[in-house]
Amino acid sequence: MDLEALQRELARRAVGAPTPETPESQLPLDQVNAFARSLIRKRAGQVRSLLPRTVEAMGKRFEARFAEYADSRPTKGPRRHADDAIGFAAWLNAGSHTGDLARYEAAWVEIARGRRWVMRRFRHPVEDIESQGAVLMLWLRLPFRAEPVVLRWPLRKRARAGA
Amino acid sequence: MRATDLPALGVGLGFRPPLRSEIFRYRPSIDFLEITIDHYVDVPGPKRAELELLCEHFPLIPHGLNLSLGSAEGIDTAYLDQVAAIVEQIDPPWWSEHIAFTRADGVEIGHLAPLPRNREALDALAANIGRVQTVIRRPLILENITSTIDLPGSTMPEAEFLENLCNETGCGLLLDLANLWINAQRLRRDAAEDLAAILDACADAVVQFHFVGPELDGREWVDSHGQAMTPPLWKLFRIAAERTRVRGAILERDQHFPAFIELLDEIEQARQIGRDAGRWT
Repeated sequence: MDLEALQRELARRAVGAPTPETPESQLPLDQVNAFARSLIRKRAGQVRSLLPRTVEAMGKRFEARFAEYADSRPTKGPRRHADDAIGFAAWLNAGSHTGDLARYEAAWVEIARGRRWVMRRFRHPVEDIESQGAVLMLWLRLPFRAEPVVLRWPLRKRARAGA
Repeated sequence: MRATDLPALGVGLGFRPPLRSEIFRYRPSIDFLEITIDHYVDVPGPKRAELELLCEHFPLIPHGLNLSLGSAEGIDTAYLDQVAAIVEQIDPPWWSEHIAFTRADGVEIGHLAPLPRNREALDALAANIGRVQTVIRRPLILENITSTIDLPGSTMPEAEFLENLCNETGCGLLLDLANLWINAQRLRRDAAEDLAAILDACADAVVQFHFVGPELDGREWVDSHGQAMTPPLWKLFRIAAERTRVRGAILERDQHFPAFIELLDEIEQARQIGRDAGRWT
């Protein structure tokens, strides 16, 4: 097996991409599969650091859900961890509280990696659970300012307690 | 490359944004920083400003992840130009990459994958490194990685492979002590013997160490960059410091950060070992 063929097959198997029809593989497939699983865990670890509240809200479901998302979705380039976080947030159910949390945290990731603005509408409270209902938020990057400006427009008022 | 041709930097830390404020607070205790090149490729203004700030306050060593120096298909020249721009901006005494491949047939693995230790892999590395050295004219040192896959086609032990690689490319070595120890555990070998074999073959080429404690994940040791140093790793550090002319050592912590003072304690312990061996003041 020449080096190019070995690398081609190892790379494809590692990311779950289809492998060309070949004679029986010379690679130790149990080790390659373990390597592939470790890559998913590594990607999950990076997403954990970028979407911490989402991961906390998902609890033990996170690992399995991320593995489901990441399977056959290889990443590319120096921004691949941010891509994973944004892609995973978009993949989660947008109508759920967890989905809103993920989209909220992913908006910060998007603006941090250079988007000039990001706008999101959230049905569920994503910042202050006690005081906030549905909200439209705009992240805006201004010249000569390191941190983005964040604007919030409440879309409806919460019902009063006991009302 | 001989390590003695390069300046002695001492002991430092891999820069990670969560550690930023404490790195500046304890600046006198950190001799230099290692930055991950990919974190500054194609980034917005505030991130570029961060690199400029670090350059102003610390000696910096750029550390690459994705050049895929072992790829049989060659390297991504557009990405090489991006790496070159960052290395040129920093103007370091040396920079580093891995003995690995990360890309093949249009697929990015997103992790360092091992190479078979044979002539064909050496030739691929030499060709790619030669190309890199025409673009980036700073000394390049190469890091040993962990390997969990026994690839078919290996024909030489790691020490011989590294010796040939250094001789044929003119590169130095970035000896990752945790990776060496983890590989030895997986193969049920004596890490000190593996280290001795590498040092017998190419001690003069060792320019830098990486050090961090290993983590037990299930039944396997992994290089998670999330654990404190352990006595076996300190033992390897001392042996390597005594037998090489190492110019710098970097503590690699990416997660499970303890109180910063604990990181400083490990840096100081490494510094003292290097001092005892006469590697730096």
